[in-house]
Amino acid sequence: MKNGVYVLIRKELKELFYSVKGLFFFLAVSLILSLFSLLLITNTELSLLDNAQALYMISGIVLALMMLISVVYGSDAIAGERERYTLETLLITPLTMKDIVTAKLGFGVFLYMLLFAIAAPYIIAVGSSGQNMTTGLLYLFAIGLMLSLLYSAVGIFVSQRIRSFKNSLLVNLAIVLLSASPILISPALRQSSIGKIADYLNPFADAINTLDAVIIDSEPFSMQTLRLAMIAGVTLIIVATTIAGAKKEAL
Amino acid sequence: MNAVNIIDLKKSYGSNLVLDGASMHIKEGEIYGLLGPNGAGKSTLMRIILGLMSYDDGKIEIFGLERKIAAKKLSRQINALPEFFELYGWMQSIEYLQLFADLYGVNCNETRIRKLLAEVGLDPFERKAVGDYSQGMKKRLGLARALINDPKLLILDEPTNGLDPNGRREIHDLLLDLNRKNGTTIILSTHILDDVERLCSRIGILYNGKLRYEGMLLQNEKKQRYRYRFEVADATFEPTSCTTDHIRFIRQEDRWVECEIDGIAPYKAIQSLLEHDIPINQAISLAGSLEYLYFSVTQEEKMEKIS
Repeated sequence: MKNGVYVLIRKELKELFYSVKGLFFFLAVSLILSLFSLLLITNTELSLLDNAQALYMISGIVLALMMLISVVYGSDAIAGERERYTLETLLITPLTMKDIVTAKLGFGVFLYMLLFAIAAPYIIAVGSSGQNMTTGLLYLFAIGLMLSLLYSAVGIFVSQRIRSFKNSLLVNLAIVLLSASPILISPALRQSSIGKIADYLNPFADAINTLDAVIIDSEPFSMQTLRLAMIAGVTLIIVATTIAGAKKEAL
Repeated sequence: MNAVNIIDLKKSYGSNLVLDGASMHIKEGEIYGLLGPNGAGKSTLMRIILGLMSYDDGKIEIFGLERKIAAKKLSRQINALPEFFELYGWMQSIEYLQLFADLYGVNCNETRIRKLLAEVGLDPFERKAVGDYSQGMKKRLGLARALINDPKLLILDEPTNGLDPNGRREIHDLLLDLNRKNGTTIILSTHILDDVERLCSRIGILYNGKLRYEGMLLQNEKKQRYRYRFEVADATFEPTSCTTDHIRFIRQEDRWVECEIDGIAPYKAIQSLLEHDIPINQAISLAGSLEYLYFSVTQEEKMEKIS
């Protein structure tokens, strides 16, 4: 007997490859990364950056893109199925809402892997001749995996509670903007004790700071443990809350 | 043994009481028609039976098991066709049914899936993307999906909506066959009373969150009132002359006289009118027994509410 979660993940994967939606996803991601890579290599000012800086920039873009894709996917995961009238037929089966949410999160991981597979050649092309390319790529993969799980889970959590995809997306985009906002404030403010605490508590800021420290400052792993633990901890809490809070009756 | 026992079920959305102590008993192997006007609570009741919605108070037993406790076990024995549902447009019908067979954990090979598709009349379209299916075809595939796990209890919400007369007849035959051969208990919610009369052995009428009527369909007919319109040959005919203990005059327009027949079968009433030399050219039934029962139950409640 096949496991329901596995069956659902397989269905989502097939949908990605066979539907127009999936084709659009691959095309959009490739196009965005091509544009940014071209800009980093050909733009007069950007091409003067050293390779580590260019690698850090494209890694940040990949991270932001992945965060956005995860949150859009999460927003659609339940609210979209509900709006398309496909959720009820799934819930009639022996699948529990927890199974459905777990499958959606599982597919979120596959989606990230695909995105990373598409992004890796661009990252290698941009940062191949600079320092810390392999380390940067490994950190990006690990951090990206955690963040994609985190933002998919946030998206799904909101998507379960808000009935329309549009409203769910709006709330989730607001969450993304809020989590990205501390890195936009001035470096002086970020160096204050409150700024430092805010940076540590925010997984997205932790991710960007870790990439900065590893790629540009060549800091060792031992100096990243606190930030990585924070990202992993927040991800674990949000994923657990999303799965535990999934109820069929929430339909 | 009863397939479903619902006892004093209560459900409200905020201050809006949708089910107000509804009780219902559905016997194993019967086709039960659930009737009621829009907003009566039918969909809520069906969603609660399916475990898609919680309830505030009361008790639900399905095949002797408490719904809340044996949710997982029961969901393997139940299936349903919701009124509104969509298919995954990029799939083909075989793929769609295979997906649900896998989700139910049933060993379903392609032969069995093709058989199911043939039963609902979709075998010529098995390679067509389901996104290109018409509304009627989607309904048929939905029904095939609802049969994928050989359910002991099948809940159907407006299953013949959007189907042409031939399609409706085929679905009727399929459901009757399923009920006869497998003993599948079917709960049918519909506004098409003809479907209920053709398929159901018992009915329940839900109104304002309570089950106002529950009984055998054939028994009702004996107690039923019918409304008929007669065309008389003579325009000067005095309509009150047709009034008897069982026939009540309602209105007249030229040669057409409308009467209510109460307590006897319509053919006996017509026979008695002819015996009284009333020149009837033709008789048209205005309301079948079930339609009349439905109106009398829901209208009585409405009048009680107004008064």
